[in-house]
Amino acid sequence: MNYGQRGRELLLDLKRSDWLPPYNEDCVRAVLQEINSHTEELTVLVRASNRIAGGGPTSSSSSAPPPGPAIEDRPSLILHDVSIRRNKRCLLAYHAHRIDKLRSLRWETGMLPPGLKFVLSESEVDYFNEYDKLASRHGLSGPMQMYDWTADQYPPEENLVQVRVVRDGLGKVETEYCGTVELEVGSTHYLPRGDVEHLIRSGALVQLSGEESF
Amino acid sequence: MPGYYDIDTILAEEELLTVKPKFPFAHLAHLDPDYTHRASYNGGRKRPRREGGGGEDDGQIDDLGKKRTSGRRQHRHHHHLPEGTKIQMPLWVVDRWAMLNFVGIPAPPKHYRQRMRERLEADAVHMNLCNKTDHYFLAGTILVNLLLRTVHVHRRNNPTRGGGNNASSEAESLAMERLSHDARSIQSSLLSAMMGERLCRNFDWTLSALDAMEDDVSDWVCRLSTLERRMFGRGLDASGAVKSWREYGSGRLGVSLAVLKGRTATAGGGAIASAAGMTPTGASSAGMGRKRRVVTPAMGDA
Repeated sequence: MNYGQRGRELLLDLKRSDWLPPYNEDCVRAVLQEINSHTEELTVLVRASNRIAGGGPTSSSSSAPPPGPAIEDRPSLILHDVSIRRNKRCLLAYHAHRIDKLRSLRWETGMLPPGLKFVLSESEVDYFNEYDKLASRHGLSGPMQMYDWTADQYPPEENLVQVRVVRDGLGKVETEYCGTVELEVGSTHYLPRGDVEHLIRSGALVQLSGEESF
Repeated sequence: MPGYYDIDTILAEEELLTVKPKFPFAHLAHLDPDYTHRASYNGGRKRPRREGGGGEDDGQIDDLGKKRTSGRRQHRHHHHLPEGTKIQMPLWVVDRWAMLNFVGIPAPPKHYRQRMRERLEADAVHMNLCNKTDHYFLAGTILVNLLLRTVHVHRRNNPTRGGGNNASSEAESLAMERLSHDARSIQSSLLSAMMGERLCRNFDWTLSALDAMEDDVSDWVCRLSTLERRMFGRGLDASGAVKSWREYGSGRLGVSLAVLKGRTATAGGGAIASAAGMTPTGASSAGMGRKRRVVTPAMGDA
């Protein structure tokens, strides 16, 4: 029996990837199985030690045996207990990390890019869709509805940004003080940041750095 | 306080620590690396027996009297981890055992001992910490915390320090003193290694990393621990920002669109047409009123 090694593999998998690795269902199942086997082992040990403590001659009222399992059995019980807790922590950390990434993806792009779907499990895709619905409903109702919740994810540095169009079929965009601009693939524009921020986040436009724009 | 979900903390707790059981541990003989040889030598089984798992075992256990107890002891003897056996266990296991005074910690891991501390003190810059462990500083912090708590628990359980005449308790007190001293030394060594010359050199390399044509920083980066690599990344971002500012100067910051909308909404009774359809999720402001031109401080009158 290995103690928490499969859970460690899951977390190392996360550390090695740039964004998210494909959901490792086999490893998750292996960790769950390990938890079950630890639980079974723990149950057997506790039953055995209870039987010994309850049925032995040392358990008579005169000798007053110490409550609980024998002292020599306790390290083993504790080892199984901490292994269960450890595996649980690894699983929770693994899923919490992935869920955090999905939540930040929703606020960055607003949609689930098709290329990223293959790394997610079915439950994670469902979670993303439900979270998207919830966040959209929250943004559209209440006293704060006039705010654009997805604007200015990062502190703004300048009002106008230089962008290059990389996606086809964007058509024309009406800006507040630059008029109407037609976004053709490969063209470069100098536009108000607030008007095109969502297109940059969705990957339709690429913001050029200061060096490229000069 | 390390976070429950923090992945680096979880991985740092995998650091192996040598411990010695203070009494025989039942069912854990397999933790001893020499158990296989010993078992084959003694003719015992390699795998630990499950209590109550088999009929024959139960038959032996269910005998009566001292004979039963001694028989059980004999049967289980092979699956005991003997007292004083050196085993290596991860910190997350040792933590619980040490707090319950089940194990003694003879010495910290090799890369936190006196020799390594002296090497760090002599020349921290050129040490390859990644070779030792990926999470050198984080694992060291957790280790120090564990050692200090172990000492604290021991002192709390034995308040009459030095008062007992028992030789073993004296020896244990001395061991705890040594452990406490080790913990303090590791603590100061980690602090001076992380915050001293090594950190300065780390940030120096972030400046060099921007000029890819001049210096190759990969040799430096591969020597860093995870924490230092993260600091290197942050330093790189900051150096890039400073370089960009030096080259292109500082522009006037524009007011966020959200602030402008909020300000106009407060002043004008909320009749704003925000940048309609700007929300990528389709949170458009259709039906919220007329679109109004906004004057931004950065652009002047629009």
